[in-house]
Amino acid sequence: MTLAGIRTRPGLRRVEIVMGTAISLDLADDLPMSTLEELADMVFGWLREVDGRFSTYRDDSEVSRFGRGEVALADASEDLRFVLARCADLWGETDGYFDGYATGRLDPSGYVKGWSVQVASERLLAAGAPNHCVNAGGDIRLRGLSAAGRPWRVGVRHPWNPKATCTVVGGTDLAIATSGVYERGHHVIDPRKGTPARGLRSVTVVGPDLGTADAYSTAAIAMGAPGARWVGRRRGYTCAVVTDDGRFLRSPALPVA
Amino acid sequence: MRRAVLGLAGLAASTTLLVVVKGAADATPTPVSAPAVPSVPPSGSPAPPSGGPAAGAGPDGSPAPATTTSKKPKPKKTTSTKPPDDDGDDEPAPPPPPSNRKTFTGTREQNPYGAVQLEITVQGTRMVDIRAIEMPDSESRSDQLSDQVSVQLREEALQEQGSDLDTVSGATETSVSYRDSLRAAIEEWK
Repeated sequence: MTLAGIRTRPGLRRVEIVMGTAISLDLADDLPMSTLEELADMVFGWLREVDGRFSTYRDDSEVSRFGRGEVALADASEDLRFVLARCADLWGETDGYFDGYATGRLDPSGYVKGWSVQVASERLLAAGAPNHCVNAGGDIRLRGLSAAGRPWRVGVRHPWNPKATCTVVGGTDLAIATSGVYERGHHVIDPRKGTPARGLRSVTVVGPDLGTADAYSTAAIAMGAPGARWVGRRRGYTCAVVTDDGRFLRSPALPVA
Repeated sequence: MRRAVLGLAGLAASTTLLVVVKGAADATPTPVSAPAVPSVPPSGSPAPPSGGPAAGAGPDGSPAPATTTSKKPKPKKTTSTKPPDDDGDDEPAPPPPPSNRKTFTGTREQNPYGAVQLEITVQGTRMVDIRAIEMPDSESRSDQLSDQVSVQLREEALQEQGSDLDTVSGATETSVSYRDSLRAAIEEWK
């Protein structure tokens, strides 16, 4: 996640650790520093609120209480009900390969991170900061222009060479999610077989919604080799795939910068 | 990332980071005895024809295999020989940072695939950047694999990360080694 060198420019950058992940916020609007600080506080405050509500590592989180049956669906927060509904949709759409119960108990973390960053981006837009980029552990939501005044340019990490990127996508209104099995080895479990998925090394999904893009990329990895064809057919989303044997596949419409 | 763990209010809690690391421990890779990457053709096996036609888009609109246009020089190997604070080879030197910025270097964390070492940049009481000084090549056979990949990917698709990128998408940042080195850098700062 090495970024461009420090530049003198409008905007603000801040990195915080939330949800066990380094989240980098890049605000590129030429606003007063106090306003930018408030916007950053809003973003990270929201992400910490989500973490408190959805962490499966906290017994007192809403998601843990719901998982134990202590909170009825009708009494759950609007956010939790929305997340549960989306996870159910994605479970169906991915033929069960995206599974919020894969660990044996309710754990929607695979959707929550992307969704919460998506919401943060929408709130920044509504608050008058239409030029920003949020990178949550390699999953990105961007809007508008960078501080350099051009569309954001996002490298997709090369699976075998961490100092290189295997493609660059760019745009002014995009979600970009990458799931991969490099570095940690094959760690995405095929929920049907219960064994590590093999076939795809890295799947990047680009489209309008980060939670969806993240779920698609995770599901495609879990599917193994057939996941490439599956993810290539998602309506409204494009992809770049690197297979275990080193083939690079991408949608013709991938917004290559 | 999927199991990921909790947040840390601000950066206040290095003890909480310990919990993060503990919570993620079950994701630690075991040393691989069998190759994690199957299907690397033996060195004598035919490679796809350089610059040849693509195999064609798959049916149903699946992604089209990219054609190879030329061989790319072997990516520079970065594991283990590099001094911890030497990044000059890979990135353009940033302009001199303002004096109120400080950098802190995390520990060099070994994992079965290599080493991870991070550097954080702090301005005032805020962290404003995280950089990877070192990341592992993903497999011990990475030289061989990098050659293999370089042949098969499009040349224009294989770029060195540079100052023209605003950010990078990847699945690396969730690793245990990444968190350990980050925690160490934050502890160095605090």
